[in-house]
Formats: sequence, C-alpha cells, structure tokens
Amino acid sequence: MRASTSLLTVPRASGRTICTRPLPLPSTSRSSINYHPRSLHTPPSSLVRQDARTSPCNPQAILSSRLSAGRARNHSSSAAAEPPKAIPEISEENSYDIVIIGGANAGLAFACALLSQPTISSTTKILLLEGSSLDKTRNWSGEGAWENRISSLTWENISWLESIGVWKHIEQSRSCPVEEMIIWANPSPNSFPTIHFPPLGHPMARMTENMNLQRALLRRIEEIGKGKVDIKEGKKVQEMRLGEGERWVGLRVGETEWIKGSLVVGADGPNSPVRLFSKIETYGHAYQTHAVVATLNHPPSSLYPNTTAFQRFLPTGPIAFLPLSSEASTMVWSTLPPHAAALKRLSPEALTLMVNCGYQLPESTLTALTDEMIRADQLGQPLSANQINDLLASLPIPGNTVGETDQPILPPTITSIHAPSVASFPLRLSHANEYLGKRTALVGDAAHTIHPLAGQGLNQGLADVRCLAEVLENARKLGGDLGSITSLADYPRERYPLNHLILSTTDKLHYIFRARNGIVNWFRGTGLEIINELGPLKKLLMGGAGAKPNITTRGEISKSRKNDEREFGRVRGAGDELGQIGGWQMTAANGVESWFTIKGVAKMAGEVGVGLVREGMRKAVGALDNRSKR
Amino acid sequence: MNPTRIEYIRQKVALSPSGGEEWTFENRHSDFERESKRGTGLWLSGKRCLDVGCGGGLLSESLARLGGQVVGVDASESNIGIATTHAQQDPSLSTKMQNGELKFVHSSAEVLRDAGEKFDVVCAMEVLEHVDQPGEFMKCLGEMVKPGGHLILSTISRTPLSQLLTLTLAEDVLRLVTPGTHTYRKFVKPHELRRFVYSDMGGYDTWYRNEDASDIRMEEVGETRGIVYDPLAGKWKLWGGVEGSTWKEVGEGCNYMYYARKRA
Repeated sequence: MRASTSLLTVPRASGRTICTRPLPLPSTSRSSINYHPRSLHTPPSSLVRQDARTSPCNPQAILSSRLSAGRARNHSSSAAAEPPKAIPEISEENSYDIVIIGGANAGLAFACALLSQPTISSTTKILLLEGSSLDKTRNWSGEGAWENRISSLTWENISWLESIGVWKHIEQSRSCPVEEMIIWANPSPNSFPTIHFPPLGHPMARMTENMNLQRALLRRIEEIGKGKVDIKEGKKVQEMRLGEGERWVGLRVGETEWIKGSLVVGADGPNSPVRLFSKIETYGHAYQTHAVVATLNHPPSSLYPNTTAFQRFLPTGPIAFLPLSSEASTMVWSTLPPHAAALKRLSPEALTLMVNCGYQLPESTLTALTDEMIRADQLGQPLSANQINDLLASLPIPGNTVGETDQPILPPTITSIHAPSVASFPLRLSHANEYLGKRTALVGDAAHTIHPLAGQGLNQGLADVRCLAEVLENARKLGGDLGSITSLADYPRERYPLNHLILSTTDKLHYIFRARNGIVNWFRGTGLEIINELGPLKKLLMGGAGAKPNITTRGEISKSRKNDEREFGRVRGAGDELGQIGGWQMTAANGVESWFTIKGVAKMAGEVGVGLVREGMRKAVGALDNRSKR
Repeated sequence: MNPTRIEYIRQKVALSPSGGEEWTFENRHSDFERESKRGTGLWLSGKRCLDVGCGGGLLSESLARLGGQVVGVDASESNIGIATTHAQQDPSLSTKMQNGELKFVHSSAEVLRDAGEKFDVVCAMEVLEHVDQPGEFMKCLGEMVKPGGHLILSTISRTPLSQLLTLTLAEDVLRLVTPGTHTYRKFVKPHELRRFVYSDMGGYDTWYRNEDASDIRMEEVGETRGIVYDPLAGKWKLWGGVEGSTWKEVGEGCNYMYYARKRA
C-alpha cells in the first residue's frame, strides 16, 4: 500500500541527454540565460547543436534521429566528451526552501503572503531575487507627478493586504477610492446603452500606483522578514539546472555564485524565464490593440468628488477614465496600434483635445477625426491643437433625433496631460498551459496576461500568490516537501479555472463591445439596459469587476474590534446594517450552508431509521425466541 | 496518503487537549488566534519519533521537517538505501542527516526494544498487516512508547470491502501493488486492535481511555479512524462520524488509523 518507493526518482544516466524542443529565447528576455533543464552534464553549446538537429519542427531530423539510434548515441557520446561543467558544491547558506524570482508586484506580494503564514515563516528560508536594483521602489517618495503604472486593487485584495499588514504602509493620499462606475457605449447618436454601478457603502476598488504598492510590500518585508526573507537585488539569474534526483534547482547568479532552491517561484513577468526553464507553453493571442496611458489633469469639481470610474466602448476598443485625486485621473485608451502610435506622437495640447473628444464626441465624428489624425501622422506632420479645433468646427456632429436622451454623466473635461506619463504597450491574452513545472511554480503575469478593460490583471496575480502561500502553508504544516507536485497540486486546482474564467470573459467582452454590427448593437443595447435595471444581476457583475463584501480573516476582525463592539461570542461589524450584499459569492455560501443543514438532517433521520430497524429486528428475534421456548 | 496520515498525527500530537495555553477569561478574545497557532510551525520539535517500516522514508522525512528527532527503521536493507539517498538529495534534510536528526537504520522493532530505546511518537504505517505475530509486534511497539507518548498505526481492516479494494482491485486488476503483498487473513479489524491493547497491553493502567467515547468504548483502548480516497478531490481524507455510529464504522471498512496515548 505504501507508495513511497514508487515516488522515488532515480537520477538520469549522465552520458545521455534528452532531445527536446528547441528552447525559444524571448527577444525581450531580461538577460541571456542558458536554459538546459535535466541535462546535468552537458555544456550549453552541445545542447543547442543537438536541438538544431532534432528539432520537432524538422520532420526529417526526427526521422533520421529515430532511424539511426546509433548516430544519436555517437552524438551524445561526443557531447559527453566535452568536459561537463557540473554544478559546484553549494554551501548551506546558499540553500533555500523557496526562491522567488522577480521583485515586482507578484514577487514582493508572494514574499509578504509567505511571511503571513505561521509555519512557512517559522520553518523556511526564502530568497527573493531581482535582476535590477530595488532602490527605486525603496526610495519612492510618494509625492510629485503620478506614475503611469497604476492598477485598480479590488476590495477583496485590499482586505487581504490589510490582514497581512501591508496596507498600513500604503501612502493613503496616493490611493484613490472608486465609489461608482459608469460604463457606456454610443454606437449610434440615438442610443446610449449604459450601466451605472452605484456606491456600495465601501469603495469597489482603489486606484493605486504600482510603485506605492511595491514600496508598501517591500517595507512590510523589511519590517518582519529579517532573517526569514533574504533579498538579492541587482543580480540576474544566468543559468538554471535541475539538481540531483530532481529534488532542487540550481541557479547561477552572477559569474560563479550558485544557489540551491527546493522550489523556484516564477514571478518574473510575461516573458518568464522560469516558464521557459520549465518548458511550459502558453496559448492565447495578441489583440490588434495597444493601450495608451497618460495622467490627465482637470479642475476639481465643486459638485462631485472625483471617485467615479468611466469606461466608454469605442469601435476600436475601450477608453477608460480612472480617478487618482480631485485634480488628476489616469486614462487607458485601448486602440489600434497605428492609432496608438499616432496619439503618442501628438503634442500634449493636441492629445488633451483628442482625449476629450474620445470621451465626448459621437462615434461617427470621432472616427472622421481619427482618420484625419492618421492621415496627418502618415505625412509626418502630426495634427496640432489648432488644427484639431479647426477640424472640430468643420466636421458634422450628428444630433440626437429623438430628443430625449439617456446620455450618461461624462467624465470631467481635462485641461492638460502630464507629458512624461504618456506611454503605450501592446495587449495580449495569454495563459500558461500549466502552473507547475519540475520544482517550479508560476504566479502573476508569468502565468497569465489579460486585457486591462476589467482591471483584473494585478488582482489575479495577488489572488495567485495568496492561494499559493496557503497551499504551501498547508503542505509545510504536514511536513511536505515544498517543491513536490503533491504539495503544490492544490494551487492550480484552485486558481487555473478561476483565472481562465476571468481571462475568457474579458476576452469576449472585448470583442462584443468592439463590434458595430446592427444585430450585435441591438442585443448589446437591450442587454445592457436589462442589466442596468436588474439590481441583483448588477451586484453579481460587480462581484467580478471589483467589489466584494469586506471579508477579512476572523483573526483580523478580532484585532480591529473595539471593546464596546464586543459582545460575548458575537461580532457586531460596522457593515452589518448593509445586509447581504455579497453577490454570487454570498448566494453560493448560503447554498453550501443549506446543503450542510439538509445533509445533517438527513444523516440524523438515517440514523434514527437504522436504530428503528435494529430495534424492530431485535424485538422480532425476541418474539421468535419466546415462541420457540413456549 | 502521506499528508493525510500526518494530518492525523498532527491532530493527535499537536492538537491534543492537554497541550497549549490554559483558557482564561481575559484571553477569551484571542481564542481563534491561539488555536490557529497550535499545530503550526515545528510542532514536533523536541519529540523523538520512530517510524517502523519506513520504506522509502517519506513519512520519516516529513516528521524530520517538522522538527522531530526521527529514526526510520526497515527490515529491508535496500529500502534503507533508497530512503537514505532520497533524503540526502533534499537540501534541508541532508543537513538534518548530518546532525543526526534523521537516521535510517536497517533493523527491526524488536532489536530497538531490546536496546532499550524509547520514543515520544511511535509510528508504524501499513506494517501490522504484514507481520506474522501482530500481537507480539504491538506489545513491542507499546513498550517503546515513553510515558505520555503516542502510538499511531495505520493498517487495513478485514472486511469484504477491503478484500475488494486492496486485494481484488489494487493487486489483481489495477496492479498498483504487487500481487501477493497482502494476505486477507492477516488484516486486523479496528475493534480487535482496540480490545487487544486493552486486554494484553496493560489496559487503562498503561493507556489513557478514549474520553470521546468512554461510555461505549468499554474495555477498549484508543481511537480508530477511517482513511478513504476521495476521487473527486483526488486525495485521501480522514473519515468523520460520531464514535459508535454505523457511519463511522463504514469509513473504517478498509484503511484506518489507530491511536493510543500512554499515561504520563
């Protein structure tokens, strides 16, 4: 019965290397890393040669290598003839249980998540490796111009960050609550299908600069991670190899320094070197879309606080307006690559005008204006602000023929754009086929990238690291080997389907809202109107798009409770009077609860039944006995 | 199956009611916090553990990671070799082996007993059903438990269900286990085990009685608990159920754990 022996892995024979697919090195890889997993004794050059010969892209090569096994053997023996560079002996202080590669959001958050788990933080040695220096994060002042990398943090993740002691390090003045959300399209002058998400009683999300979050995470690590988390920064991983018996990974950082890790976690971004090392393929597609980001300045409104997020769906992609402070907001304009390039080449004044047009003009006029912009850009003379003003005066602006209008509240008209903040990046959907490799695990962007229209990328990454830390805690509590598949299996089991659901939903939304076909328009318009009228359905959607009731761990509630809020065994939370605003999660929880009730009742009934039958039989036997005695 | 067994050991050794801080009226609001800290971290630290029939050494390795001073014993020399190699390949365990916190010895339980070795935790996972004289083996294990120490076994019950699952399916049909590994008549039923420890191993003078079921477990020592495979979750789970109920007995129809604690 004992499965232990079968789990043993015997080290591979040293002379033979395994022919695998060629290892595509990404053009934008952080460093030139030689990956040769499994081949302990083969120098890099021979592996590359071998791959070229037996690449699966080349059927002839496969055939010839299969047909003439002898040749292959010769080849590998000649490979073995070159002096192999074995991994040198690695000292104990360079041996770690968990090595995190990447010191950005996911990597730092993972380190904090691990530190919040009692067993992991008291029994494991953790190393965080970052190729560049973290000083920029460490010394970020929290003042001055807004960074252009800004993310929306959902309420759920904020609660979690609060419970693990990170949120107190966030520069609060630089984190803006999003109380309401207005999403609309305007496919024809007469229709404005709109969804308005009203305030919930707590912010749906908070717009926070990535730098702000990263500094808070780093401060938390430095606060409680002394002696538990080592940080090596400014050192790139040059080489990764699987060690003896596939029980650890050897990492070469710098020229000669080797590090041993029982588990290597790749938090190293979309072109993840760890994913390449683990030979995990990804699937997905590029959107023919680039996102332009910029910080927008506008006068403070005397009527409304700037806490409403706007998103308008244009035929080229969504344009979002996300609040940062009373006088600043950030924009994410997802549009066709040539449009994005042309927008970036505009002067700040011209771009300011274009952005206002993007939120306010009817679609036909905006399309005409954009065409003019592209034409001028192709001639090498980007439109100036004056030219745009002239065009606006001359272009026809179709009026609303019905008279009555449902036009939503528009975002405030912006007055200027912070020029250095303008940037663009390509959008891509990708999802790794697996999250686990041999002694490796992927989190965050290394595992999946997403269209930003729902603001879920960073939130998914945080959910990943929280889940992985919990899985590792549970494994370590039972003495598990952290890098083994047995210990890690629950992580993809929980996260893969959820991530996939979010990725594919966002993907569909992108295409549905881009289409301008008459039928699609009608269905989308009617659908959005229905959704807007149906409160419960809207709450369900909000559950996905950023809102969630305040779920903190029980321990956290007890810590933050004040004395007068205490009753014996009962918590009177501040949010109780709001009732059940949980969306589908609460519905599911209620369902599970009633299921257990039914199960309990059924079990009791069953036991009573069994008891009755038993009693009856006993009586019957007694009666028979008595009769036979008589 | 291994994590599930260790979860059972954790529930018994680390979460036993006698351990931990005393409850006071003042600290009532941190109950959850204190409770959640129990059984985390190095909850076996300072405890001497014996793993009889360690096989490839997976259980011993886990116990060593949790801070225990572990001795793994197996009657097969090749198993000891495999276990030693496997543990040495693990970066953190290789240092534990050098420090003597994890040892694999080619020996038998009887030899250790005769040498006078005593342990806080004595484990024998899936051994009892292979032993020719289970009674003598149990007595030998019992003698090696320190006062206040824990005896934890896992074995297979003798029921039609276990015949179907372990003999017919696992051995003959699926060939997960070499045919001939198990013998049906050597399997021990849970109540036989509990009664044996009561009648032949010192009874309540030597062992604590099972306070959860003191009214129905008359003349029996220790607790049994079923381990079943949950195909939906893809892992082994500890079976629940109220002591003495039919439901609990159903779960012990095949694989089960046995636990007894020696009086201090």
